[in-house]
Amino acid sequence: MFDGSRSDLAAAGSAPVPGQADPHPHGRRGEGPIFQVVGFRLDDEDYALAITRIQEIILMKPITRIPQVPDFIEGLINLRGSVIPIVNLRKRFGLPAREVDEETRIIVANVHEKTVGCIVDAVTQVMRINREQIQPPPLSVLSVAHQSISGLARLEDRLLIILDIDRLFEEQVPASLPAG
Amino acid sequence: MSGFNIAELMPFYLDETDEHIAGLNDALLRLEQDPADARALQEAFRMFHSIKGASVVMGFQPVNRLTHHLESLFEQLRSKRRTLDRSVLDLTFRCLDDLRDYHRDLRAQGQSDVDLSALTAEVDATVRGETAPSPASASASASAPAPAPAAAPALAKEPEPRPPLDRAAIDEPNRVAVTVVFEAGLPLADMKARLVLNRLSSRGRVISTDPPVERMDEAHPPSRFTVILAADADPAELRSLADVAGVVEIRIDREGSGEMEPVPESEVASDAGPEPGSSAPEVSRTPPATADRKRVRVAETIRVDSDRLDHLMNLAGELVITKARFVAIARGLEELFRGSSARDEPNRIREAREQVKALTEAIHGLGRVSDGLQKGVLDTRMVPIGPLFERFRRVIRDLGHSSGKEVHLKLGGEKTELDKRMIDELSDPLIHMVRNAVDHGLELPEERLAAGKPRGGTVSLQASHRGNSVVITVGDDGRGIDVERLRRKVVARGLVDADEARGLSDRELIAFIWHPGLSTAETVTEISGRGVGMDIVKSRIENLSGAVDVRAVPGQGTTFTVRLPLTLAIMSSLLVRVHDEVYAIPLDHIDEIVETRPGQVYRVQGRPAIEIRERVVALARLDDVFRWGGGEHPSLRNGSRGTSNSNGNGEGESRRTVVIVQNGETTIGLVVDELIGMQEVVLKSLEKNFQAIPGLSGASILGDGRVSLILDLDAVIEMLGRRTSRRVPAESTVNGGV
Repeated sequence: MFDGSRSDLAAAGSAPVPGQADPHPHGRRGEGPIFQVVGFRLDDEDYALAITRIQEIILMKPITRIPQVPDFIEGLINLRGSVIPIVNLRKRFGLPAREVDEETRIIVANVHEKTVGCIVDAVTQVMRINREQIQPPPLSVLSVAHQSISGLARLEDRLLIILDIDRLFEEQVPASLPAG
Repeated sequence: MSGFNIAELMPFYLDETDEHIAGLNDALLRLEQDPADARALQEAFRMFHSIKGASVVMGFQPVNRLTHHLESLFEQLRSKRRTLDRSVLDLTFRCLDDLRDYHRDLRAQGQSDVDLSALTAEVDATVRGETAPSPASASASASAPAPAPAAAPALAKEPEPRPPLDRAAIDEPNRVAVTVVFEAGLPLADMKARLVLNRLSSRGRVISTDPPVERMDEAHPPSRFTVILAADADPAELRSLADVAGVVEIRIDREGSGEMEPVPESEVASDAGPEPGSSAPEVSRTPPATADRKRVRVAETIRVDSDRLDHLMNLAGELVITKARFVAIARGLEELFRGSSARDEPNRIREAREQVKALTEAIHGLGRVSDGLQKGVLDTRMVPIGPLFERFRRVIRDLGHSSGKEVHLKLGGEKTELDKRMIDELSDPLIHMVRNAVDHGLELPEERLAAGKPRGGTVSLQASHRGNSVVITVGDDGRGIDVERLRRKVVARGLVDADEARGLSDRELIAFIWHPGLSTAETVTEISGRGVGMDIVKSRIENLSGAVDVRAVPGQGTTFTVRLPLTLAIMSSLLVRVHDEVYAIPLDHIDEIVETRPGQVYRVQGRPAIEIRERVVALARLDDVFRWGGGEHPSLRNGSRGTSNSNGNGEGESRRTVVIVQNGETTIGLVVDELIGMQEVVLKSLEKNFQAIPGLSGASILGDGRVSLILDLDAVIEMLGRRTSRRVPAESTVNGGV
């Protein structure tokens, strides 16, 4: 199921996330225990995604709403001629809604050969993380987010939630919602 | 003929001749319906004449001889010295088939082995027997071909072709000027004009419009609009086509022969061109070019709208500009780094940053241009499926005659564009399916009458874009597939054993029709029923990475659905706004656009409906079929109901804009908030980065960079139908804003 193209993060192995069965380290790309993530903020929590999966970070742009999809799919945007879906991560994780401000960004990531955008409150910085810093998420975290967390990392005074982008989109949205 | 190369002319000759042969088939079919159709007769005469003229130039003597005699035959018909009967028609059709085969060979191998001499003699004999043009003599000459006495006298009394002026004069009466006058201050008059044009173009060839289409836009809305077209339709029909909402007056003028200068029609021009003198001396001469012609496959050509080429030209221009930008940036950077160290670092960094920014922009620009070029080049390969469909008129005619069944052909979606290659490859599979429909699907007239159906059966060919594919359906209203017979046959052929067969569902059984060596016909006929065909159809379509499916309803008919992939589709669409979003409605599905006043809206079982041209059409909004995030559209949620939705708002005061759409069976009035305009949209798949959404066939990018959604009207109408059958309370759903 997971092949070699999987992110460094997924290959970390030290995070005992169920289903993360790929133990062999990536020779060239993994380059030892250090890997880079892009940090972003959602409702005052710090999250991160593996940099290898991120295509670019863009400003908010007009989103075309689409019918017959769950609430957290905000709609579609035109990214230089490609039509890509935009996911509102706040809604996805059941966090309260927030107005768009000048810090709001769309992180464009590659997932399962598709390109998707995620709306986040702000992009903070690129960080280098040692795999040894990563610990499994506490079992008490019982949210949608839980299934897509690949681990937690403590950085100075902050707790960084590292997301597994593949799992975030794995659970496919039902194609049609009851229309009545 | 010095300095002109026959080989170079070959592709043009072949294309033109193919077109003429197709046109002749069409004209003959019309003559078969109405032998008094002077226009069709005239057209046929002219096209034979054109082929004759061109074949002289190219040195294809057999073609020249045959068309020469055919031309004589049609001259007799035209001058009423002979009546068009079945035998003459059949003979002409046979000639067309052989001419087609001849040119097909020519295209494939650079020369042709098809022997036209027998038919030539037959036509010649028919012509010379002109004093006794009874069917008997014609068929007699058909059965005993080529009595062939001296050909010279025949040639001598051969009527010379009319001089061009004369012909042009005869052409004139076919030209019809349809003028519509719009209501003063009608919004979107330009769009209405295009709609009228669109509707009229279905019945004839548009010669010109006044004002020209390209000069019409919102800024210059026409108060009246004239379409000059070559059409044989009767005025009442044209009138009904031109009658769209907002039109206050319609004038139809048949343009008289005397008043107008000869039309700058290409046919007339080419007609007169290559054939200046009389034909007789040319016939006997063998052009030297024939001798050294080798077996060369003739290059395939394709006709491309000059608009599309203009677009490519523009992109090529932009490419040059983009290149200049890169050059400028490179020069700037070079200078920056060559600069002496005396220059202070912060300044340098700032400038470098600017350059990088410019570079990024230039790259984006390049991306846009290259995408455009890619699309543009692909576009040049896209051709409408209409001409392919038209060919089936002849196929249906022949099938009808040979099977003793009355068959009508119904075409739809002729403007759907497909890659040229696909169209070429589709021809054979479609013929198989159409044959199957006539032979196995349709019943004999008596059986149909007994079953309470109209005497004549209908075979329909439809094409449409659906999502990222093109869907072509071949349907009939015949008996469907006899599943029990199929079950017995499957067992008889040893494909499955009896026990297994009992357990098979109808659908599983029907799937066996794709099995080689299985045929459902009662008797083996000349046309089909030999148990070959359907398996070939399947493999051919799979070769095109397509899929084919069959559905049958006992007593009601069979439908084959071919789905072909499409990397890129361009659709003419009407852009409309519903809530905050822009939707594109494929023009193929639009009948017309109307404004309704509240008083015009009726209620039928609690649902709103309007009456258009004595037809009651149910009104619907997208809110009836779509849910946004599981509920109503967000713009309606926050109490701001009336504002964003003023048109659909209530039965109260406001007018509503209604787009009348249909899927071939059902017509509905889609209430929209605003009409934006017509546009060619490039369909982008939703599945590429997301997933399919029922009711949408894709997305497209608007001029301002925003994404619009392309409605899949087949699906929307189906969804509406399902909803109706579930009987949702009407009041709350129909006008999202009420």
